[in-house]
Amino acid sequence: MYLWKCWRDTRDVLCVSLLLIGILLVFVLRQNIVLAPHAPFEKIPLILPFFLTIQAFPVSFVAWLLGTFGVGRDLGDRGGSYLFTRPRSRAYFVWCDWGIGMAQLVPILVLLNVVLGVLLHKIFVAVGDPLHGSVVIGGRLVTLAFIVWLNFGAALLLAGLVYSLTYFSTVLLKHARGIIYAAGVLVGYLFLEQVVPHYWRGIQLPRLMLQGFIQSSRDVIGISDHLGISVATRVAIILLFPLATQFVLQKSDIDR
Amino acid sequence: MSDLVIETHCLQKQYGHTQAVDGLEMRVPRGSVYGFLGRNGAGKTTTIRLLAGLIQPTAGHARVLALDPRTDRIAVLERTGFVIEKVLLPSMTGNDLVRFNRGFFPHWSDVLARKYADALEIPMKQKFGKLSSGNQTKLCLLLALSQGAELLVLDEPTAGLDPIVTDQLLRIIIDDFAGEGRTLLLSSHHLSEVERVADWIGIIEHGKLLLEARLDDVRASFRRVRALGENLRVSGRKEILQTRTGEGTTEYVLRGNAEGFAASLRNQGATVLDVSPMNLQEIFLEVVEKGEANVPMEVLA
Repeated sequence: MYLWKCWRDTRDVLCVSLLLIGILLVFVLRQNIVLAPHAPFEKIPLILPFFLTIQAFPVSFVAWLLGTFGVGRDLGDRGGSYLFTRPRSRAYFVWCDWGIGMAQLVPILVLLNVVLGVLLHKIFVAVGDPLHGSVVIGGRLVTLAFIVWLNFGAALLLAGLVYSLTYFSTVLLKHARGIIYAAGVLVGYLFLEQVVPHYWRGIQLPRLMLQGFIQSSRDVIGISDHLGISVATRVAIILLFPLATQFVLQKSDIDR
Repeated sequence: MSDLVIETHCLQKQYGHTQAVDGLEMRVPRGSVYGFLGRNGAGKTTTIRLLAGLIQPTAGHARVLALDPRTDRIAVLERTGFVIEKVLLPSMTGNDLVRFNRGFFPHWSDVLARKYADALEIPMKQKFGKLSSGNQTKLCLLLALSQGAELLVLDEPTAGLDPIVTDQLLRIIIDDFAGEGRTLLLSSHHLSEVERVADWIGIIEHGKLLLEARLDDVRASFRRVRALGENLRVSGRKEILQTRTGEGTTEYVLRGNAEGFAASLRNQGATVLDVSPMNLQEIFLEVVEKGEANVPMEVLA
């Protein structure tokens, strides 16, 4: 029943997001891609990091929005006494909330990356598609499907991080202030990421978004090394937030 | 099976420097309607939160249905209906909340939910947040009553309700719930309501239980004695709760042995004007004003 409540609370966000991406998909499908004459196929990899970055903003926003639902919101609305006198463990509420939120992010990101895939395919076709749906990056043949999967994975990890941080913050600080806190942490980190290398050369903070490609100043020169380790580390960090939420909730008194 | 549905021992809850519950010793017999009385801030709600496992005690322990709310919280909640804050989920309608609750409780009754919704005239299609405060309270009680609980714990259930709805609710609670031999703990400072329905009372003040007894025994025991006389030797008598001296008369509030006390006054040459019973409100005021350590009037077997 709690799963039903989670779905009921968040379905509008899911439906509106899917609708907007659906409209974008229809627009992309109807659009004819016309590139400059003799556009070089070899330059296609240059646009790939751009695709990865451009989806970060809408994805982060939707994840942040979804993170504001759940136990933290109910605690803020003084519904904690009611909710936690239902016969379920506090961990149950946390993992249901978090699980439903993550599950809602998946179809949103799948559809978004379908749009990306369609768009890339059209670009491939527009430049002749000599490698039949593949492109050469750093001397390796990389398929369109791999690129789309990489984008999807990067987007899901970013969304998971933003969502989990927001969810944790709303429980920690009882909703309203928690949302601001989460946004503040994210903006603050982005600021630090820019400032630290400027003052301390050689120190590079980990990027919020998984970096799928290695770039030189003028070109994309390869697929990132240790991609598996990067993904595993990010998954572990994401999972720390619901675990921390569970810990905080189990230790805290529900006095309203 | 224990005769006690709720039992606390040296239960304490401290918030910073404030001792909200201070060594509470409480015993609620099975099948009773227990009026849990106290002023605002006396520790009633904190005690109920401790019983529900919402907050952790600083010291001592509680048992609800012979289970520890700290370690067996889910089992306690499956068998107990708690109404603490009268706040549910604001975006849900009454019907949504019934649907939401149904899945949590194995003994949930849709028939009862419909019956109470009709009887209490609750607009079930309206969102909880849009309901009047009275209807919100009624909906909270509907959900608790329909879950098929063995024990119902209601914190100020009639606060904010008009007298007609209060009457209607109390009748439902007593006829449909307590009438079936189940146990009800009713926290309130509306003493007339408690007096109407309770068969046991506990009076809490500053987190301590000052009095716990069967209501009939309390009524039978507390007496107000007015006497005319001078130089009466009454000091040290344990039954005296309060003494007030007026114009020539002295008023004694006694706990037990009123006739014996009156006889002793007469033996000293005093004129006993009357020995009158006291209602719950008067008893409550005297006990809380005196604020002495808990002296149970009847110890449960």
